[in-house]
Amino acid sequence: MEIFQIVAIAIVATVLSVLIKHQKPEIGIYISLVTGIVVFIFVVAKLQSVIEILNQLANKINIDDIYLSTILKIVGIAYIAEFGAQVCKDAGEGVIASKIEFAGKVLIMVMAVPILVSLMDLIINMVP
Amino acid sequence: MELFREWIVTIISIIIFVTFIEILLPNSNHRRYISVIIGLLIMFVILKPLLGFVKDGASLGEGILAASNQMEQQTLQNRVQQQQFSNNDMVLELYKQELKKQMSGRLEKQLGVLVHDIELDIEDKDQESFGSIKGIYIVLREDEDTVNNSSSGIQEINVNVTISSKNNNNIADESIMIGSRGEAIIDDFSSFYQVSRDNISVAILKSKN
Repeated sequence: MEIFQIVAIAIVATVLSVLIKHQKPEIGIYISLVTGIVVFIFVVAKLQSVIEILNQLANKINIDDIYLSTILKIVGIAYIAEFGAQVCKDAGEGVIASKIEFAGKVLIMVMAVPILVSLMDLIINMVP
Repeated sequence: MELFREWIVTIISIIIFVTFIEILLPNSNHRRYISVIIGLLIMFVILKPLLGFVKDGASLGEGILAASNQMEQQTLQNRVQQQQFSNNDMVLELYKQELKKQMSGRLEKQLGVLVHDIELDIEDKDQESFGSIKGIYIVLREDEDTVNNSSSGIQEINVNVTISSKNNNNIADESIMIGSRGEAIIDDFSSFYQVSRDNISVAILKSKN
């Protein structure tokens, strides 16, 4: 069970971070960063298989591939932006974190604009 | 009937798919935005068979692709434009620096005066005459030897010193310029750089002593 390994790594990293924080606060940031990356690497393989199954499901039913890929890209952007923003917030840089969130929002909106435009097109075409 | 069945299956599958995606979503501010986009996509899927009746089987995916391609193209164009602007600025700056270097070299070597600063007004809007010199403002530095000589030579003339003390440390007007040398500089620059005499001004920066 990977969850035990992940939780163990996270607890060890937290204890280390708390112990070191008083002597060298900057090392605490490195520890949290590395822990985040390690946990992400643990999970990414599983996530990949889930996404592949979702892809197969989408192929079986009559859904255009572009819907699925757009949604998955948006979820990916949200995750990466969240990860970056959390790391910055942990380091005490709330301003940079909010900028990352802003960039994430803009990129999500950029992905959404083509869908919005074609939906508008569709609705306008349907009106007699 | 087959079409109707397929439609129902598609709607049910997309709802299952979206429920799955909702689990994957991070707990952040982005959740709202993603929900909106998912809502749009569900609308799309629901409306898709209706589009089949209106248009003969036109694909909505193509519309999305066309719109996203258009956006990509626009972004690329904006980037290229920005790059060109910054390139033009850099080229102009480099050109100005080289011209200044050449001018101060010419002034110091050929005419034997010390240059404090040269300001150039260069055409940067009109494409045909891009880079042509519109105006030259030369600020010269008073030669220290001359100052020392003159101060030792005219120590007694206190009146002149008090009158000119107002202008000390200021960039003086062209009229203060040592007459014939200033005219010579203007003549030389006007013929060499093809700039009208009216657009060349020469001033001298007086030293403290």
